[in-house]
Amino acid sequence: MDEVIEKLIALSDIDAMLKDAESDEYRNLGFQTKQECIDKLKKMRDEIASSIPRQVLKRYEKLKKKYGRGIAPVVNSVCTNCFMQFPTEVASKTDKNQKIEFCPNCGIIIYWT
Amino acid sequence: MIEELLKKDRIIFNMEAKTKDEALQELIKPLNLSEERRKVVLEALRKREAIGSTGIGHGIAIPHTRSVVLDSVSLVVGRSKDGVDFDALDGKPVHLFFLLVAPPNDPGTKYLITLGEVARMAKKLIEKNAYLEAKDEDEFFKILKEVAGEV
Repeated sequence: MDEVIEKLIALSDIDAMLKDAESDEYRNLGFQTKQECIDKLKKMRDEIASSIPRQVLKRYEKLKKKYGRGIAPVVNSVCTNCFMQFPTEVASKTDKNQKIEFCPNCGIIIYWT
Repeated sequence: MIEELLKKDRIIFNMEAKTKDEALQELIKPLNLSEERRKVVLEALRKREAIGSTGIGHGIAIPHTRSVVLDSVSLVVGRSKDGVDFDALDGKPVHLFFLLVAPPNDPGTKYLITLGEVARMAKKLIEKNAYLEAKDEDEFFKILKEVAGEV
């Protein structure tokens, strides 16, 4: 897997974690989410973000603002952000996740599962 | 939802893990992920534990995470007769593990609803206390199914 994609996934996973940790619904389940721990996670996020090329990070943040996330998995040849079906010739290629790719329909960064 | 997630091949009747990290590694094994995805999910689980243990006390831990590399919601249940030090809220060893993982786009709050169901199920199991006495995997699975039906 491309190193930048790997970092974008880690960033996205942290973003999902932060979103959950800061929601009342999650807190009501009884999981401890101390502010100092959330700050620790935010620091981890900053560290990962600083190692991602600036232009890629900028696009990720822009997509996150628009869709609530910057990277989406492609499951069974379908983009899970916009539900566009990828053509068979694209879905069957062998060099998946070796470079950053975008969904041709919604523009989100994609990860082939 | 939780009944659908309970699968016999995702039950670990006798966990071997002695430490928190070993427990996480053992629990993700039944998901049969590729090495690449396994590493990503394990790292996400470790990060989640870093912000506060998912050991909610009374011998229960519910490690959980969402990850881009996952394509479906999955549950793994593990039982440790000896218990594992999981930095639980009450400081007691954890005997019952529920690992819940989901893709990031799991519609809305479905993931959180399932997480809530898992927590309720875990508490009911502890009340019954029968899970530790189960003779074998079949009996353990039967107990889990029964309790899941009550949640």
